[in-house]
Amino acid sequence: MDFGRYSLLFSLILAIFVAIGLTAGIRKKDGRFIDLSYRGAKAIFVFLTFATSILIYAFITDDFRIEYVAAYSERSLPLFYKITGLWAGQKGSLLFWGWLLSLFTFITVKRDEKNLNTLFLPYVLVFLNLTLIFFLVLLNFVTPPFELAAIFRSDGNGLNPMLQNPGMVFHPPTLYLGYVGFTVPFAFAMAALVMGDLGDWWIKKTRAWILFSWVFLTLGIIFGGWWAYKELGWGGVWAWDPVENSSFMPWLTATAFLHSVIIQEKRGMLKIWNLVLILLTFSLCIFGTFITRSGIISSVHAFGQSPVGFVFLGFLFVTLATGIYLIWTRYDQLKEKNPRIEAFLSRESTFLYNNIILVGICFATFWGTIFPLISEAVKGVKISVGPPFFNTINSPLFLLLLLLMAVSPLLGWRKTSSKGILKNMVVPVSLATVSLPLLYISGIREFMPVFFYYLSVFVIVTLMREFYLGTKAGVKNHGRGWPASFRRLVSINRRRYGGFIVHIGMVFIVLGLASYGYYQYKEDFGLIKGQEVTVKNYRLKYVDLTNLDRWNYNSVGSLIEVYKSGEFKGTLKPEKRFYKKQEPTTEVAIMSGVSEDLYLILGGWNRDGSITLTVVINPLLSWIWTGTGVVLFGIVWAVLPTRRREDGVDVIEKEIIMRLKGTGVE
Amino acid sequence: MVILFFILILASLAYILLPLAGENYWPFMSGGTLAGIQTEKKEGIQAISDIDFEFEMGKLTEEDHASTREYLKRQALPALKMERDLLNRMGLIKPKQEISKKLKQDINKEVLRICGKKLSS
Repeated sequence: MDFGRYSLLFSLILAIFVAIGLTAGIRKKDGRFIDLSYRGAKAIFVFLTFATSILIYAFITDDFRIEYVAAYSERSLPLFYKITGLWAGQKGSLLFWGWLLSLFTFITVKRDEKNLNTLFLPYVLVFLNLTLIFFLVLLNFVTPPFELAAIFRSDGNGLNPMLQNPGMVFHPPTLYLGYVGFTVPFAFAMAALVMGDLGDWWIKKTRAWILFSWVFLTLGIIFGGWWAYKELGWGGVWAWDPVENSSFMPWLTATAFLHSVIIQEKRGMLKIWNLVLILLTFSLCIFGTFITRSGIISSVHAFGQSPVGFVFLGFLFVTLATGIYLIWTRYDQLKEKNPRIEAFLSRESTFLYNNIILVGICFATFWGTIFPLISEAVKGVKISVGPPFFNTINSPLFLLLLLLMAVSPLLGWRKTSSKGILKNMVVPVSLATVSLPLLYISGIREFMPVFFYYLSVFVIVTLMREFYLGTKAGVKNHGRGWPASFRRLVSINRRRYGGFIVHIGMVFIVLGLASYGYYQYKEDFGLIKGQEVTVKNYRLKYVDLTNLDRWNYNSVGSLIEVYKSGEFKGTLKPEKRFYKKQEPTTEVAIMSGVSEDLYLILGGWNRDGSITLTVVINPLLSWIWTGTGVVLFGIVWAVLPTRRREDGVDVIEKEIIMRLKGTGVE
Repeated sequence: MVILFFILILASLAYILLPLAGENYWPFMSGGTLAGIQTEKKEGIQAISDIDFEFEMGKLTEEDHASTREYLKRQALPALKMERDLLNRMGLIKPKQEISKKLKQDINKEVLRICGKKLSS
């Protein structure tokens, strides 16, 4: 464990060394110091890997001399959960964060250390290294993960039972991969500002990082929802909890950023906005960490009260102040050659509206999250803001987003004539309208759900039409068959069609969330053995109450036979678990299907064997998980190497050369 | 173990400080490079190719296509000019390089198919 401590200390010394090397190298124009800094950054990764491995080894070998291991592990804990104990608490998760940052810094340096075209890498490294220094100071002096336990213990406290779930195993690391990943585009943006080289080079350089971080942030949020659904036992996936919100806010600005960088690349617009968005995204990641770790707002996900949250708050202010100052000093330069959007209806204008709405949702969420703090500061009373506030404000904004997702592909870049828009709208609007009577027949008649379903169909129809028209153009103009034309279409512009697939996945997620949000059914029953109840088209029969003694807990479970439309579907067993060293937990039982989930919660039981059972039916909830898979597939498709459309490209080039020579189109 | 750790620290210090044993050098170039200009050119041309494709899909009216195409061509022009100037200076392009008659015909055919107009000679 001493080696762990020394590795952390040596990493901090190296990081300071790198900072000095970079300053000297840039100021004196001495390449030796730059080279030295690159090497230092790579060495930090080696030492942090060493420190992280030592902590994991301590978990595996039950080294309870380390206070952190004693607090989050025990001898009887399965190996899998012992390893994931690394991120179960504050100190270990910060070490994991620091290690990830050193890994990403290593990759950034390795990728571009031989690129001598410009001086960008040393400046990028300045910002990555400063962030790393912040984490290393925390790890060495504020939250040391190798701190020794005050008393000798033969066994540890054990891991919180709610964290002993696969969802919680994957949720923190995926979230951290997203959070830490955004440090890289942030560092590139700041480097561009310091250098005064404000073209879109930094966006091109960080495209892969942006997608990588966005995907992992998305997965982190979804895994969190999955964990809450399975482990918290209230029947839902999202409750607008402050900690949930704190991961959702950077996701919103990152999604806005993903769209607005396309405008900068295609049209050279929104340069300032993009810098603001990446600064906001990174700052919101830090703000989220402050919320989670300060204990300032109570949440099931929080780490508990700790001064470390306020250190993050300080870091947040420094980050924001630096970013705002740099943007302010480069403002005139950024305004130059910044074309304006020419038409109210064009693809870039829909991207801009999308950005405004996403940032609007982010602001509403931010306001709702910090309102309890403000009310406490002003009135001395902590007023909690619950789901009704967030749903009322954000649902109409989500509807507008869906509308934009449907309309945007129908518009061209720069401007589209009203004739062109009408021509493109007729088929998708007509096809989507067919869904309205179907929705009415199936009993969906309230205003908001009808709009959610209608617009979802509209988006799907528009996107399908894109695939259809592209394939048809290939058939018509190049004489290919339909399958060959389709294959070629989706391979020649993976970014575009991958993006469409991501949108289809997002519609699935929205449908899942809206369906369970508006049409969730919940009912409580008191049952005696052998008794049956009918809930919607389910018949549930309570068969028996069982007791189990497992490796680190005892459980009481009720066996429930499930029949749907008269047919036996299986047996579910909702449980209560009593861990040896922790609070009892509720283990729900779920029967998941395409159209709905049956979700059973064991409320309690009596000596005579009777039980209290809560039955929840969540329509289309599994679509959230399916949609996540589709989003993931779309992203992978989009980042695979593209076979660009070559036909016509040479001709276009020569055409422009002819213009250069004084000839052109008549 | 202590010795191994000590060796690891010494080795890493040696690795990091090694560049200081050499001469001072400054390898970074400044300003745009041929590769950068060529990327810009390629993207400009690709943007035109993309709207040609959207026109082929029937998503753009002839009027919208023609005006956007003209705009994008103007946008792509500086990168092409810079590339040609740079290649000229590097002696990689003959100043009076002519476009072959066959290519001219191909261009006319393609432009006629996409825009419905022909090129002036």
